[in-house]
Amino acid sequence: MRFSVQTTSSDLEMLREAVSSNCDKVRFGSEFCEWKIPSLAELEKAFMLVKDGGKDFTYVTPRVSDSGIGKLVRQLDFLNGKGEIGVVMNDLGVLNILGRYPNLIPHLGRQLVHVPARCPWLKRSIRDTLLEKVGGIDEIYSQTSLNYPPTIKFFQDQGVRGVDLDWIPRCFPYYDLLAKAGIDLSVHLHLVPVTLTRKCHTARLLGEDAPDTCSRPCTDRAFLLKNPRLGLGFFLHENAVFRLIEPSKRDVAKLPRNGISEFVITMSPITRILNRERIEELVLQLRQLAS
Amino acid sequence: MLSAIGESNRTRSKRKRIPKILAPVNSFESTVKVIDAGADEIYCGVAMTGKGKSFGLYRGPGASPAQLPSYDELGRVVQHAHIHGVKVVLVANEPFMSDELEEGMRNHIRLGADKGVDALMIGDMGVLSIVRDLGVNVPLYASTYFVSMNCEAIDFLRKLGFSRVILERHLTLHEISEIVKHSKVDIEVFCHYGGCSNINACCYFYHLRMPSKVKEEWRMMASSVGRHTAPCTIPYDIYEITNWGDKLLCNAPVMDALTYCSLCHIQALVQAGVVGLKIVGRLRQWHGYGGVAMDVRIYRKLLDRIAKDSAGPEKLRETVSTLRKEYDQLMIEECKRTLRAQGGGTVKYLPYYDFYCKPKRCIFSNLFNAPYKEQELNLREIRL
Repeated sequence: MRFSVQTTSSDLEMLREAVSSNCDKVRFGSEFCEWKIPSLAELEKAFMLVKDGGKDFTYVTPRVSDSGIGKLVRQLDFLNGKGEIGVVMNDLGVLNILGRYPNLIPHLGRQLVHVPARCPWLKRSIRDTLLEKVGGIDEIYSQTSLNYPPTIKFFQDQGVRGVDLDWIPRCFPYYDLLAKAGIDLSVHLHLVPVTLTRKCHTARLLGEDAPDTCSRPCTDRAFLLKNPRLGLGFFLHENAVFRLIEPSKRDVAKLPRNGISEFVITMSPITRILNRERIEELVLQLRQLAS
Repeated sequence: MLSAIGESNRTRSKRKRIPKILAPVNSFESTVKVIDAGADEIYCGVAMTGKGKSFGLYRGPGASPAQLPSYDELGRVVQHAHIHGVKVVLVANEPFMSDELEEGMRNHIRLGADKGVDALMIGDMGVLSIVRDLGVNVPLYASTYFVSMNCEAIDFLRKLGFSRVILERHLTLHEISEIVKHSKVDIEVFCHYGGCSNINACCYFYHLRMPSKVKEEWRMMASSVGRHTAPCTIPYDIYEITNWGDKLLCNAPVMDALTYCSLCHIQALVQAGVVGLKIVGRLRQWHGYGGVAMDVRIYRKLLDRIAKDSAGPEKLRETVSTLRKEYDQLMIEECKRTLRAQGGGTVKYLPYYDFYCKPKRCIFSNLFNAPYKEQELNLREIRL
């Protein structure tokens, strides 16, 4: 089992904690928010920190507008000069430009893979619908959009070698099929993205006026959202909403034996994994569960 | 014989570089209504066969009321639209494909092409591979499910054979304008209804997949149009997560970014050079109280006025204000028609200004703009 720690781009202190932990790789960048893409100087600093700490570096990019593309191009120029580096991309435009950088390895981010089982009420919905029980449709809902062979071939033809997925146990059998197709799987622990916006819910909640002047209060603040009628809670962090799934021993046993290249641990106020000790505790715990 | 409205729709769009209005339809009747109201193009799905019949993400099962009931009906829709110079776009745009759904999708595309649709709207690379495999020679439109937000993404889709790209609805007017300037394909944007506060392809709040008990409760709870009926519009208790436990901050519809209307920004979109303005709502009723045809009619009138003269901002504000009143008048007439058909009773409606403008339900407002204040609802009652 290899572990990668995903850090937020606006907190180098957090990055230092990750680098000093027992993880194997460190991810840096912004997965969801375009306005939290680090500056080139921050990226350079982060890259040096990770390399000096003896860890592999992966750069994470979100969905972007043209101004985000402009920012990323300068950063990819820098990274391309540093040897083979994985770049997680969540935007077709970023995939398009990655073709110009021979040293950068495209890795499909979670926003480019549709996974119906991320829906918080899928199970209840299927239970409600008689047709699906009869037709055996429920199995389709456990697949990802990459499980259709022409789709995975399309992305492989674009140079994609790996893909980010979530810790959703009902999907594990279909992850196995992806691994057999020769794709490296990175499975995110804990946080399953349920929805994402550009009209940032956190920023609006906290009274920020505009993206350009946003004070990035989401760096260390997150929120739990509850509605009694829904009977379940969501977590709001940055411009995304998540649900939280804790890994259990039973689920660890269901994981495909081969093909998972890494587990991704996200440092976030929701997971309350914010320092080296918590990372190491979790890594040990998961290693024990697996054995 | 061409009807007056159909003919004028076509010539108007050619003559003045005015964007086309795209309207959703889910039946032959709705097609007649929205074309009569002034739609230049219509888009629709069809209840799929095979396992696709009971599969569905954003619009519920394939056989949901969002779809035309059959391919024969699609044939009638295409025939009627073409007589009036209106194009038909067939949607095949769930952002998902699997081996089990392939056969149904192949039939869908083949039958759509046979019926003479003018374009296919696609939102998944797997579906694109099916279209290529079938060798169907129909223009391809890239659905918003590809979440196109930059010129590089649009260039990527162009190279794959798409001739039109529908942008993600959370872009600013400036961003749209820059994309149109630098793109070699036609650009379409969402202009009305839907209220999607989240990025479509990344949103897993499948509204139509809500547990039936919850859906029923919300239906009962929704005392007014468009309120509290979806997981992204309902209020939540919001707790801040702290090291000392979770602290209740407030109760608010925190996920409702109120993206509904763009009447005030239409001229900017015309100037930007977008090719299509999309009205949302294949599941909405097509006429009557708050129906699609009324939305089409009001956008048609505005575009026609912009086409006639390049109105300045002040004149345009005046026009929009007049149109809102006209919309209310149309709504009152529709409500009365409904009541006459029912043989009496009362109907409540919310005037356009109170529903869209007062709570700032603007698609193209500041990205972070959305007040959480509960609005006092100024519901008007109509009785016969």
